[in-house]
Amino acid sequence: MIVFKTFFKVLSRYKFSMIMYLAIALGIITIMSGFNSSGNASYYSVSQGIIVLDNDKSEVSRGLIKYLETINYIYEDSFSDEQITDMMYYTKASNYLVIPEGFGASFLSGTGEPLKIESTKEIDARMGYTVEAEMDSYLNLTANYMKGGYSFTEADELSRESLADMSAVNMVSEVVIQDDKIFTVFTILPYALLTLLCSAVLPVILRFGTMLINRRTGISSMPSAKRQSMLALASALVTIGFICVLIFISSLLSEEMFTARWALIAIDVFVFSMTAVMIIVALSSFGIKPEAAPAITNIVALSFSFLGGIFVPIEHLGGTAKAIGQFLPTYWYSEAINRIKSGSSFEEILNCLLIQLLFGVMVLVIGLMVGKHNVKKTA
Amino acid sequence: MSETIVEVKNLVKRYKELIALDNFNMSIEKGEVFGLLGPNGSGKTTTINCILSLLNYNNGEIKVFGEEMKNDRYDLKRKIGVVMQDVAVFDELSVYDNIDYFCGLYIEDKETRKKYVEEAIEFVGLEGFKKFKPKKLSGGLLRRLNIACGIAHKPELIILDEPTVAVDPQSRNKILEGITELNRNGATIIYTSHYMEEVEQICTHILIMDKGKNVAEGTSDELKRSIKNTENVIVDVRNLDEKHVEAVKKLNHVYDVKYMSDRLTIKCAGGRHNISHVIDYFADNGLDYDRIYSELPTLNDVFLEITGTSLRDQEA
Ligand SMILES: Nc1ncnc2c1ncn2[C@@H]1O[C@H](COP(=O)(O)OP(=O)(O)OP(=O)(O)O)[C@@H](O)[C@H]1O
Ligand SMILES: [Mg+2]
Repeated sequence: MIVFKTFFKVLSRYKFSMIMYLAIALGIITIMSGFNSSGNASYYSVSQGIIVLDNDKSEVSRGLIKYLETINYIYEDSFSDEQITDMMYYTKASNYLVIPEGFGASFLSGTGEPLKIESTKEIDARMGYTVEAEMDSYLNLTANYMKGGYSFTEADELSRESLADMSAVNMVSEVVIQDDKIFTVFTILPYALLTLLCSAVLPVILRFGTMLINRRTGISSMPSAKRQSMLALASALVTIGFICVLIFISSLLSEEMFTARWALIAIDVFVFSMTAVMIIVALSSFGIKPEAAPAITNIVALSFSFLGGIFVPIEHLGGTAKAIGQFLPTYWYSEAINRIKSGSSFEEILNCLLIQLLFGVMVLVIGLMVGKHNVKKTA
Repeated sequence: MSETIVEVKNLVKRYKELIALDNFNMSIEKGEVFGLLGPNGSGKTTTINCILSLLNYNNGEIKVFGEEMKNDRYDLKRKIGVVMQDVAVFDELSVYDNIDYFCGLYIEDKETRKKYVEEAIEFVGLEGFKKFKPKKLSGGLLRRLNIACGIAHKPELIILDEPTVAVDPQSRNKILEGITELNRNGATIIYTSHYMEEVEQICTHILIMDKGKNVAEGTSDELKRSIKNTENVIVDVRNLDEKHVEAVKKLNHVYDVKYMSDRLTIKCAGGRHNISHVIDYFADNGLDYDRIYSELPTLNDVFLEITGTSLRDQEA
């Protein structure tokens, strides 16, 4: 109990840096939540540029293009290959469609394999797939109406009408997932948490771990395992306090709370924070001076955040950075968020959580081993 | 009937090539103020750390309260209080909270602890400084805080490792009186120092160690009686000729003479009127001097005679 009590007494000496880093953290989260918050962003992101080369010029190809034009912007001028590459690179166009000659005839005959429209898109560009999906919906629906006895002109009109309603719904929900604040806001949270922990909890833990205090405690009648677990417990409690505040504020800013994915993200935050506590408790074994805490705060918080995909999306990191990042719990925190975003299965998300905990346990075990060794050696 | 509190047998501790403790033996009886006297680096702290199981040792046997001491003998550790050579306190905590923490490592009960902490503060005379942070205390007061942290839980065995290093004479006397009082109240004390005056003042049994070995032990008187040096005659005299130094050496009972910095030190073994023989020699030869006096041998002379080097010479 005395260790517990003393932990909080020492912690109270770090009030100032705690409040300061909390303010900085909240500032960053607020700024992050400001991004992507523009109200009609959805329409811009839905509407894509499409370059079309129509070699068929049949009523079917014209119908298709007309339909695509209701959602997107169509370029039908003739471009050089280089121009096309540029347009796609600068995302002026998401797809380059080539409609082969005889496409209309093959579609109308309805027998055998219909001729394929060749669609070129940037790999990884979501919008490219969206356009292809739009194309498929139109062609399938039209074909179905025709099977039901409608002429092409009638079928074309019917499909366009029904798709107009549906696509609006689809597109909007698609955009909501894309730009949802909850993911941007919560992605930055580990950085906030790490700076808080390293600036307030870490120096306290380090103080208990200084060589002299450690030795002095080692000769007392309190087993060191008991003391260490008290310290870990106290750190965990403080950390839970921090994440409650951070989750609450982040939820307010992202205007979402108590949804299923919110709960998953909250679990991810909790797992990450416990991993961070294990790392911090382990650091107490290395006889680092508490005065070094601010330096460690910057090194750990920045490198973990950068390499772990907190500041920059993981897929934008270079090969080496990504390779190193994979060993950090922050990476698996972000990865879990990505998987939640893309609606992965619970097992896939759980894996990310387990890897974080595994990292924490490994560091903790190393710390305890080093600690045991050090006490005997330096006395 | 005496009871052995600490027993160290054939203790060997090596740091790589350096042999810090070389078949060291020591036995401490209940109620003693046991002085461990030795120059810097002689192995005092190493001995203490081994007794406390802070260090692994290469060979030997250590018993505390009659039982083998191990790192996990928390029941034995409960009865020991330690004041380390280096001050170990929390900079962030007040004087009161520091003592409360270290006392709390042993005493769970809040009420008892409160009483003990207050008593410890009173004992070291820090009543006016309860709310002070260690950084605000002078060196002497900080040492007193360190002592209070070590003894607040009322241990039966108190180990103090050079508690008076870098302390002003006033604080030093306060500390020494305190140690004597702790002993009167029933605690057995182990006191390490390289200040022989202190050891002579408070210790009931003295062990002299050098280079990790037990070179002599006994009470202060026993130690002094064990050497051939019985009296030192000192003459403060300027520009003494070398031939007189040689002549003094030939006087009865004199076995060693040194002339340094205008001071003639004459070591005598036995004999009863040594000082008057010296005075006679100076008068017969018409020599003038400032002062002449006689001293009984000190622990330094004991150390010098046994090891061939002086304790004082090695003081940092
Ligand atoms: N961790 C260590 N590694 C290597 N050598 C050490 C270590 N600790 C002590 N020594 C050596 O062991 C010897 C005994 O040291 P010790 O600290 O026990 O002496 P001491 O009598 O307490 O001296 P002092 O009066 O300076 O405190 C010294 O020569 C010292 O250099
Ligand atoms: Mg020492």
